[in-house]
Amino acid sequence: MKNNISNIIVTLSSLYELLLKIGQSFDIQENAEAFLKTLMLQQNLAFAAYYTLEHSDVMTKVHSIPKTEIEHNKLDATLISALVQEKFNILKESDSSFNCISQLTKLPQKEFVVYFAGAKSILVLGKKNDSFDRHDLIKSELVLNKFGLFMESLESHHRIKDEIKIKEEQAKIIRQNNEKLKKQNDDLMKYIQSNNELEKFAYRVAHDIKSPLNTIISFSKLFEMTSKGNMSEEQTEFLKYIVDAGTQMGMLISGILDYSKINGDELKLKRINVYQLIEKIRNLLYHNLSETNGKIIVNDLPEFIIADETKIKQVFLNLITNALKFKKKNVPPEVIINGDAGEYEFTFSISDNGIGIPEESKEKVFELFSKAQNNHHFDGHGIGLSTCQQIVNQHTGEIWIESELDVGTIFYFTIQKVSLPLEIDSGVN
Amino acid sequence: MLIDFPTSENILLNIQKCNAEEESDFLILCGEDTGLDFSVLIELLNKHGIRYCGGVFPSVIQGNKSFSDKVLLLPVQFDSDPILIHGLADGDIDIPSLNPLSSSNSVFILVDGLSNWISKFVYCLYKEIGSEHQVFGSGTGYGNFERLNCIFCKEGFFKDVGLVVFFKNRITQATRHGWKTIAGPYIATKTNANLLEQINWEPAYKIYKEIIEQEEKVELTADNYYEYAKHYPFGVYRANGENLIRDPVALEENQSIRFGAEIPSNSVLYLMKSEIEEMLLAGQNVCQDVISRCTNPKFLFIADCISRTWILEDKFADELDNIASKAKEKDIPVFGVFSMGEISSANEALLDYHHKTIVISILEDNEK
Repeated sequence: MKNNISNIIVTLSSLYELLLKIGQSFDIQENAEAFLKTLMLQQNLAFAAYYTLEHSDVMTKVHSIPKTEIEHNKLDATLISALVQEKFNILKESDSSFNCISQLTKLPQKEFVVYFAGAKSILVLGKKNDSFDRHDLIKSELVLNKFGLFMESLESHHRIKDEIKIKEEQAKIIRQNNEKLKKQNDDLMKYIQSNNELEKFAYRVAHDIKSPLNTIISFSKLFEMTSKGNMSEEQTEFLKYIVDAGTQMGMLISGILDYSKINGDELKLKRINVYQLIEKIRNLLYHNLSETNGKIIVNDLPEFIIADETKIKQVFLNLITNALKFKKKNVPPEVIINGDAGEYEFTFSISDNGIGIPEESKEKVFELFSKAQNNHHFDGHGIGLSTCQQIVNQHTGEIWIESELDVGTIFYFTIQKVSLPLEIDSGVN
Repeated sequence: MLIDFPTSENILLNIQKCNAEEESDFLILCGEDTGLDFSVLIELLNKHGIRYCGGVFPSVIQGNKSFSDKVLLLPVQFDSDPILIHGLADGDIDIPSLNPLSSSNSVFILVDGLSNWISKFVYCLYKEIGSEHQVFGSGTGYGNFERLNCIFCKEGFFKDVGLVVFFKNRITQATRHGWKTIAGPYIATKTNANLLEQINWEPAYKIYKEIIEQEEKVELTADNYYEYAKHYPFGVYRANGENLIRDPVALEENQSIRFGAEIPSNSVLYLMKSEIEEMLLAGQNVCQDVISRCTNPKFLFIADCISRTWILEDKFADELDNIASKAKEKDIPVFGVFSMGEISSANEALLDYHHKTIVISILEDNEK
């Protein structure tokens, strides 16, 4: 009787020791190791391993003592059906399922026990030269089951923790991107503000300079007219320099004024007849065309576009003027205008038979004050094409060029298709 | 082979003599009173390209005699270079990938017997090598528990290390201690490595003292503690086998007891007692068991815990006589050491570190 009680106390104490190894930390490997090691010491085991069951018949190793190389193994069908009937199965060398387990360990073992614990936990225990006692295994069953359940909960805990971590990392990246965007936005706003201020300043300066400059030019011309015959040839030439330089400066200031006004003005959209618009430009350039024997050929165009007429006219005017200006010597300029209506935008091209643009200058032609031809034969201030780009951009379009030296240049630009509010659209023919 | 007057040169000379007969590797097991300068010995052996390893023990054994001032030179066939493992002082033990050859059959281990983390070292080693190899080995050190260097190999002379070497030889082995349970079971409710702080939720020493005083009819004090404690170790419960003996070597603050190796937390403990006749019988039985199972014995190696000599005192000569006479019947040479702890895979399960135990291993000659 005393011995019986003593045995029960030892059994309970051993189970207590084993039970207290469950949940000593949140680390899956540490937990498995502490539990399996204690079980091995108590039960004189040579092998102990914890696996989880995946896809109902594949065991995946979580921890083993000693270390083993095989991470996954398919469970034998006979063993599965045995485990369905009873929670554990003792495998001897003569059993058909013995090899399925012994190949996991690669170590000589006499017997194995395979426990099915929790919902998807498998414990494999091995003895090298001894046999398992069925009665002892039954005593440990509840504790092993509890271990399995705990490990499964821990695994879920880690999976959720990992998912939360991933989401937190994603949120962090989004936060960082938002901050970056906000900073870029702030920088952009500052840039726009400073650009607007600069444009206002440029307009103000240009406007204020233009008036005294006009006075200088007018009085210089007046002086020339009133002093005719009283001036030496040299003085007449000096005065001509003053007038010419003043006129150049006046054109430059007008260009700057136009350019700085583009962004300031809102688009005044209206329905425009493109053919009529080109005709107006042809009339404007009448003298130029006559002097050079130049031609403007208008091919198929979309009849109507919706845009800011003044600004689009400026684009056509600048591009056609450019085409006429950069003509080949002794070759009459020929400007061909094409237009195409796409699904979302109109695309126009203005091609010429001029001198073309050198490769190295192509990228810079739209920069302010940049001149494709550094040739004193071609006057200009490098504002016209920048103005065109600004206007096209305002119309949510793009502008680009194709050019070949001594062959000619084609300017392309697009204008986004928009529709007008009904009251505006119906008011215009 | 026992070297009576060991000097570095003498050891080298004996190695060269052995090698002249058969090229071998060497276990050099030294008594603690040899007076050897190990740095000179290591330099000399390294210079001559000898493959060796060794340790210092309270005494070495040849036949039925023990010697603290002699050196035991055992020619063997290593199947690997000896592998030195550090970290036994702080528990930061990193076992390298050992990759034993298919020709390896056994593993010999030396470990500093006074390191803090011996059980962990033995456990980590098992995780790497598993149960495929038979393991035998011994704790090294000095009988007065002084913390000095006690393991040497070509890398130097060390303390707080373990040393592992694979042998081609098979071994047959058995282990017993012969201690009897006198009280328990208890639960080690609070432990910290090799410190037992509480048993059954009470101060460990309070319970221990009560039982010893009842048994011995004396008052147990700090001064006479180990005089009595050496006869009353704890046994960590093991199903289907002898309990694992843990020696309560010292009293500590807060009525805690320090042991020679770790006590697992919440493990089941028994208080054990020595009976001289039982202990001697254990020695005889283990010897009989091993000899009956061996097939081609090369020599018999005893790792007999130093504390058994303290307990058996004059009777310890009987233990050696018993073993030597049994071995003589089969013409098996007997060598061994007074060990500071014992390692054995005799239970063919997870390796553990024993105290106050006798481990007998017979190296089998593969060529016979």
